[in-house]
Amino acid sequence: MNNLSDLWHGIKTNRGAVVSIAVVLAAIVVSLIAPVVTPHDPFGADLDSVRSGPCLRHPFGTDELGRDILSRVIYGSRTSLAIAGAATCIAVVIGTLVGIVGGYARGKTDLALVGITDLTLAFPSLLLAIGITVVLGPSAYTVLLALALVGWATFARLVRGLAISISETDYVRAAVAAGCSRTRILLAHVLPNCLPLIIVAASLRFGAFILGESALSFLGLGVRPPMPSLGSMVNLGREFMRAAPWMTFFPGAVIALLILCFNTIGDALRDHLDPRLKLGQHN
Amino acid sequence: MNLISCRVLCLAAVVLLLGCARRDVPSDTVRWHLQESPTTLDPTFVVDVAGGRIAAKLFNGLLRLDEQGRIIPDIASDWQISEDGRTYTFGIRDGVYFSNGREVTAEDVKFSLERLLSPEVASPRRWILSHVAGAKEFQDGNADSIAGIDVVDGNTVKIKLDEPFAPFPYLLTMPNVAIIPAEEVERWGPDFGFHPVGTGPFVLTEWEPDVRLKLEANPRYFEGVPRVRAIEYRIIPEALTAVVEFENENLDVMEIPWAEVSRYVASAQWSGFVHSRTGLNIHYLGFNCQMEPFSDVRVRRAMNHAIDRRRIAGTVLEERVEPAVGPIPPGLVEAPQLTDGYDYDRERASRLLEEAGFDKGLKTRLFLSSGREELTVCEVIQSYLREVGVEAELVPLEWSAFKKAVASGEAPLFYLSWWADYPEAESFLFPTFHSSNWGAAGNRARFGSKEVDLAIEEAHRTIDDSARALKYRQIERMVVEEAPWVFLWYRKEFYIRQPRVGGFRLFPIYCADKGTGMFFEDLKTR
Amino acid sequence: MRSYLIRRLLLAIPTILGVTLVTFLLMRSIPGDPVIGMVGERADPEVISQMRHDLGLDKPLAVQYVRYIRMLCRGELGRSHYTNRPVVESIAKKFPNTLKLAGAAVVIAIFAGLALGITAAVTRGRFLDRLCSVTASLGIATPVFWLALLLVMLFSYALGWLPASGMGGGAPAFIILPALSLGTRSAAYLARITRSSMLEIMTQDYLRTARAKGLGEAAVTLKHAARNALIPVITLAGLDFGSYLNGAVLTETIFGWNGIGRFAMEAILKRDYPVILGTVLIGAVAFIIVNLIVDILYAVVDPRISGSRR
Repeated sequence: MNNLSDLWHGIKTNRGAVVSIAVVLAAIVVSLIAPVVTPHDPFGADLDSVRSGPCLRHPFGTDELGRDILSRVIYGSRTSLAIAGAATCIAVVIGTLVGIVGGYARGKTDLALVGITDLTLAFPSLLLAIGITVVLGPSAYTVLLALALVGWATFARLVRGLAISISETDYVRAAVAAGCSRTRILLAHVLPNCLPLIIVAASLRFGAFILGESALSFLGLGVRPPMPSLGSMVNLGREFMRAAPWMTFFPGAVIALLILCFNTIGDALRDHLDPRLKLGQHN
Repeated sequence: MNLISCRVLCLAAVVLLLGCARRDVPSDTVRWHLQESPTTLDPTFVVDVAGGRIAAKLFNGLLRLDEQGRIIPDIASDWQISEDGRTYTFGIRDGVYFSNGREVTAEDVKFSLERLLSPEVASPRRWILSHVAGAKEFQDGNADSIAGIDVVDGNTVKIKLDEPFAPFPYLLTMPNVAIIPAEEVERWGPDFGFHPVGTGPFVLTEWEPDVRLKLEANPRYFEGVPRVRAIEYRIIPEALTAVVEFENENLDVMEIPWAEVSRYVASAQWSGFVHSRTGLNIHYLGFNCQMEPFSDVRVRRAMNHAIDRRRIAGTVLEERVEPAVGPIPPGLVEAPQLTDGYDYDRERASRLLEEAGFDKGLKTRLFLSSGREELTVCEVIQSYLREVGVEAELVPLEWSAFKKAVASGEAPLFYLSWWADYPEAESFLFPTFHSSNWGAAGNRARFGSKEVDLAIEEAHRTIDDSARALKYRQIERMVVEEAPWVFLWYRKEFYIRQPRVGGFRLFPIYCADKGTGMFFEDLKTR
Repeated sequence: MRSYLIRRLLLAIPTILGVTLVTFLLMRSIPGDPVIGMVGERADPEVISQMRHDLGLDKPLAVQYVRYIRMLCRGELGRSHYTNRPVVESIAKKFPNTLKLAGAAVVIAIFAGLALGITAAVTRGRFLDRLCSVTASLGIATPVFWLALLLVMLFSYALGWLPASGMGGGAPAFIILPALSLGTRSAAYLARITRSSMLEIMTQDYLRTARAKGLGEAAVTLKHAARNALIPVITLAGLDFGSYLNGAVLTETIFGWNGIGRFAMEAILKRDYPVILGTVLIGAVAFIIVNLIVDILYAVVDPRISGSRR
């Protein structure tokens, strides 16, 4: 696909995007080799150095059980990236399917699918995610499911609009006239033209999923302890904000950094692929 | 629109709003911090701490507690127990008035007690009067009134019990047995909890739900008008916010949040105004004694030996708790405290586990309610247990889901606490260890031992206080040997007050504080 | 246009019904039992089952749902399981607070967003532009709850300028930090959109004509470019209602703001079913209405956009 190398050339000039890609790649690599790289055991309580401040041994300080915050941040980022990544994939797959089928087929199928999409979008996303996690009980998989179930609808809407306009173009009409099967048209013509949009939307959504996961963990509805999660670290450090502000500061800063990087990448992709979209994307 | 003048305006607005962080200090109102909203102020239904604390200031019962936790007369001016220990005779004071102006009579006592047991009302606290003769028939709807409550005349009430029950006077000090006026209850119906009318030293004048409540002094209070004109309860769920408000002089009394205790205790400026007391509670790890592997007493003892309570109390919990030996907190029983409990001994723990057949390790699940404190504590406990080969997976649940799991027996291991309803050791033994109370009634460990049951029942019947105290210690020793819990610690409470608040004391139990001891110091003369 | 409106309104009704059904099902699937939380310690099983009966919790789900819908049609929302207060009363007291907070957040978003965006557009390419753009990106990326905590640390603890929580009976100082936390994200989006749409318009011909007429640069910028660039922008920016509802849950919890977000959150944790249903319903209805208004404004302001969006 010459699209990919085109993409790379287009983004190369955007310094922010390049830095962000580097940071994200570094984060992914660190996540993969986390057990090798972390300086201390993120799970081992060390009751002698409870709540000590940043120093050479513990660059981010220690938490209320004496555990090294840097190590826990590394493991926490790993969890956040994994959950956000998986949620994005699932949401993209569901949303694209629903959007393409509805947008192309029209008629009753479309109406039904639009109804479900609108229903999902009628709920404020966080509340719906909270509802799902509370029902299924907090855990990494529940968060994943909740984020995906809440997030697919925006993709569906987006893809549907695009699918409709693509299906009205001349060469699709020609393909229909030529007797191509529906599936073939969908896969060979509609889908590839939606891809750039999907990629942009996915990279922007990734940041939103990281935010969602950390918000759910912050509320106590996320990954179960003792598995560290950036959001729950911010929550647990809340009480000690005066006595030990590093407990809240560093995990939150890392969340912001990850989201910033993904947003920058998404923006660069969007600027390159479709400047028309600048006015649209909010959530 | 001139950008510059716009910016100047904004700056001016900001400057004006600064310094609005402090508010005027009212000279006659004590501003008290509450972490949660009270659910209701209807004595028959109050079960939460916030509600009980406020209800204590709005109502009176027959008896109440003093600062040392001893029983003193309240609306009852005197009381006697019959020889066989089954009949209590109360003389009702004259000159006690409800805030609607009517004087209290013995009929009101009967009404209030019957309301607590009434089947239509279905109060969650009706167990308090379950020992009264005729209570069961009344509850089942087979009787129109309780046979055991006898209004002898306008000033005298006799209460007869099925059997002698020594802690009964303590039960009468609970806020649920407050004396309430029948006409107001009928008038307000289900809303009586929002418009409480009682005999207490204060009267509710304002209630903004989830924001604040205001109580004003009752000029006709039978023990004399309180020295503070009003108490305002401000509901601030966020702990650190309360701290900032306190330091900005917008709060007079505050319960010090966990994280700030060491700072205040060490501070030269504030340490003189910190009040602390070991509360009447016990925090423990409960086992489901009817479920493997915890049905084996050796496993339970091993778990007790595996956790270094002293170290946790000293480091993670910064001395905010007192390590426990048995289930009864200090200061309750007039008999020598138990000293031999379970020491931290890893080898012993491993040996016991081996004997029980778990030398290859043990897998279990530790249920807890998902609060920050609970999570921290359980994570430390988890790492201690891991050292002796016990893998405890943490299962944090929402409060009501957690209670359900524990009450139904689903949880093999759980972290919980038990708080006294009245300062008598019985409340730490009967509900928690008697085999009739499995599940939601209090015995969450599903512990059952014939000896312990009989000993508790015998203690119930022992009217003599010192003899009963000795029996309680014996029961405690039996319970510690059987180890249905890991006895962790007793939690201390820490309060701080502004220098201007005088006469502030911590009562052994929150509902004993009627708020009448406080006054405002004249700081200028110091 | 009118048919579009009518169609949207009609579609809203089944959506709202769907919301109640989904909420009801979700809610009743939540593990845990409100009654156990309400009875306190030492409750005997009889009291528990009587309470369940009184609250109608022992009937089959379908019956409970129908009962609930009937109650809704009467205009009632029931009473809280915990406090026994009518839900309508509580919501009526708390919803305005959330609206106040959202309103203040919108004001901050507009002021800050416009200021940043215009500055960036006007000083295009220079240091100030980069600064504003980076600030905007940070504003979007920063999690609301972390930002709120940082603001409290800085302005309350360290500097002591602003109160850390509570509503202060309406005193203006109390709304600043929560509104700032809530509005920062929208401000950042608005800044970016302002910048790019101003840049687009600033290069257009009619502006060159205006300059040629001899008007000062500032006048050109503000009077012509700003006005044309910002009409659609303002419409969109302040009305990002969904994100305000989300952020409100977190912000209200941290700042102890007595609004509907915190109310809903606490009710979920306590399994207070009537309150959960009531708040989600009101929230969703408000959300649907606001989205409807936004879509209509979209269509009115720029028919091009409404065409391609659908």
